[in-house]
Amino acid sequence: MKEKIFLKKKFKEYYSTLNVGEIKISGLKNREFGFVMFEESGMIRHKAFDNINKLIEFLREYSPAHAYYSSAYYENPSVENMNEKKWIGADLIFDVDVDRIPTPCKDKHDKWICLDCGNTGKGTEPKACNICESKRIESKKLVCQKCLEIAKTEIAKLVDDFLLNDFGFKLRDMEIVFSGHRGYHVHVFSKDVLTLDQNARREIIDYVRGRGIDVYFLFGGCLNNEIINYGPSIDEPGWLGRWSRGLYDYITSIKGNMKEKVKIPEKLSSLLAKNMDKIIESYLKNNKPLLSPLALSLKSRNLKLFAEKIAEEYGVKIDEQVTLDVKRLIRIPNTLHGKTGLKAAIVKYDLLDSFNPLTDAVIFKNGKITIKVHESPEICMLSREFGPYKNQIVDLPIYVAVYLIGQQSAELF
Amino acid sequence: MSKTYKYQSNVIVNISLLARYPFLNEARRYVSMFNIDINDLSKPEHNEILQEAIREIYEAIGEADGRSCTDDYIKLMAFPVTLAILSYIGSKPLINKYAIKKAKEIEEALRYENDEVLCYVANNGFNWVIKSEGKSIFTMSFKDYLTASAMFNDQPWKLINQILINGLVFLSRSKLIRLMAVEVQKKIMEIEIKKEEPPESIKDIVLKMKEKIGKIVFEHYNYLGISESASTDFFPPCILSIYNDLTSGKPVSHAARFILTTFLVNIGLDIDAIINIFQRVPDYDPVKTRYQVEHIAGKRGGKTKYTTPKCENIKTVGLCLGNCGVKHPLNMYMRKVRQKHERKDFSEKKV
Repeated sequence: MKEKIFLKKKFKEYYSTLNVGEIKISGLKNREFGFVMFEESGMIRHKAFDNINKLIEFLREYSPAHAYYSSAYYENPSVENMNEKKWIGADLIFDVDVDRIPTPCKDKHDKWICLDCGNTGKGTEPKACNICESKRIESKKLVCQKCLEIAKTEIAKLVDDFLLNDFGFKLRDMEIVFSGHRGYHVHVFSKDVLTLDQNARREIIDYVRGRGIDVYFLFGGCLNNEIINYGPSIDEPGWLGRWSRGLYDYITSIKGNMKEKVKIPEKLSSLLAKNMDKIIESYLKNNKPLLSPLALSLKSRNLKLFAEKIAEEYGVKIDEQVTLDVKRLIRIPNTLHGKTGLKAAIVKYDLLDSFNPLTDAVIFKNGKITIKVHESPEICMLSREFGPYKNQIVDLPIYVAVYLIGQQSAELF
Repeated sequence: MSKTYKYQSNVIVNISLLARYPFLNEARRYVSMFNIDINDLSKPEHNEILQEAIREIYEAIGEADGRSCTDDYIKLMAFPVTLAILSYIGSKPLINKYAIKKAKEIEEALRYENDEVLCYVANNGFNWVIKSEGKSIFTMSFKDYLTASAMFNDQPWKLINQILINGLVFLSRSKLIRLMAVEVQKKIMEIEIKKEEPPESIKDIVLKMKEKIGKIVFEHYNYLGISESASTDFFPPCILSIYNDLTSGKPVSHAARFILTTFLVNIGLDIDAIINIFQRVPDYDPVKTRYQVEHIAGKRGGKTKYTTPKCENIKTVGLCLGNCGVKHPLNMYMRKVRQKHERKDFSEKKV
């Protein structure tokens, strides 16, 4: 409990010195707000504020562990009955979280424990325990710089290739936000997306994920009696070019004996290996892949499968539920994350490349405190390395202490 | 929020164009200038309009006598009257039939228009932001595209299978025309049903049509190949229960709909008759329904006609209602039909 009080005190410090201008919320009056407090479990929902000052006042007074607003705008945001809230529209939200992306370093820093039988494992938690099949699994995940870099690459791809180029959104209609934990959010505020229903959002998700691509669209044919010579050129717009570039990348990666990115049937991979040089040559000559050897020897069903796999690999691995949900509560940009003490910082597009959450989203830079760390792998914050620790009493900067306590890896001494 | 584009510079907006596309905002504006009250339709000077409106409805159910009107003014003025009559009759299946007929007609007409006219109609009729890029290629904002294509379930219509650049979806002429036709269909299907008594001027036709609709539903039973309305007597309990839920507008699961459709397909109901049954569900979607029914009937995709799941599988999904002593719902149906006919033979012999 004293840990919670400590965290709350720290959060209060942050919110009381926070500049009112730091939190900007469009359509604030029509949004629902939700908070998770340090001292109680469960979420306080259906709050509404008339203006930003009232919200800041609230943050200062209660200093919640987590602060959310709805992606949706309502006529009556504070009414509890969802139907009576009267939905007006919703921002389009994308969430890229390393949880959903397999990264090589997860086995090093993530672990899980089965709450029923005590079985433990490393890496991403399974859906059910492999011993007792229980689904009550608790996981502990580190905020890792390498993982975050991968999430950032995905976000950059999402913003540059999809949102700016294909969908034509403007930077001024977009906010890229570090989630405060293990990923990034992109909020799109354009009026073009406001009233889109779930069906329409599902289409956007499939587009971004690369799902449901049609061979007919890619090659102009897929049936055995239609002759396919070439695939689309790498400089064609939208998915045509993206798919073609994906295939090139794929083929050169298997040529370089890199780990296969896409799992494909053996027959197909041997066929690819056999024709690899011809395909690469046609890329170099015509900017497009020669596909006739594949099309001639493959059943159309396998060709289709292959095309789909390539597309899915080169889409962005967003969390679909977040984008689909038109009534989602999402972390308010520039508030703090209760599990890390990191700021859900808005990242300027121009600075995305150099943004490092473990430096740029770190708060509580002054002071030190002694804590007892139960267990922690090595972490790196503000370019300094800490740990690994195991049952140790250490004197640490406040920001590390807040982080470890937030992660429940440490207690006050 | 409609954007006003000056398509007019290239498009001659005359009464003939408005009569072809009476759902245009411009058409509505034109009609409203004449300020004809629905109560005045019985006046002799408006008789032609009323008759044309009625003829349109008869045509939708395949019973029109006489040829379509050639007077643009009458045709144009009749459109809102048709919609008004339909809304007082209040039959969703009838509205849907009319919507489909009108959409077909408009799709046909659009094929003969030049690119500028297509843009004009799409913009003025549906507020779509649309542009001709030349060579029969059009661009449409992705937002409009997503809304317009929502009824299309097949892969070629998915957003990922369109060229999308800078927020604009590139469309061929034929795709655009298809989207427009379906939009007309949607618009008509969305007309509000009026609960109150119809005005005197159209009361006769409304009542006559209401009676007729009852008969049409009756005739659909006849498709079952047995000339009596109680042919559902032969349905096994599970199928009958799904059928009753569906026709009374209760929510019916996807599995149940699948079972019912396979059953109806296999006892020889034709596709239109099956679609007609589905017209009564609240979330009825003509395009999707047709696609799915045709798929099950083996008219699409893999071309396999699906058979009804056996009792065991119906049990698994929790839709079995009891022990009928058969292993397959179709067996039960066949048995009942046979019994009935044997009984009939027997009684005939007796006489």
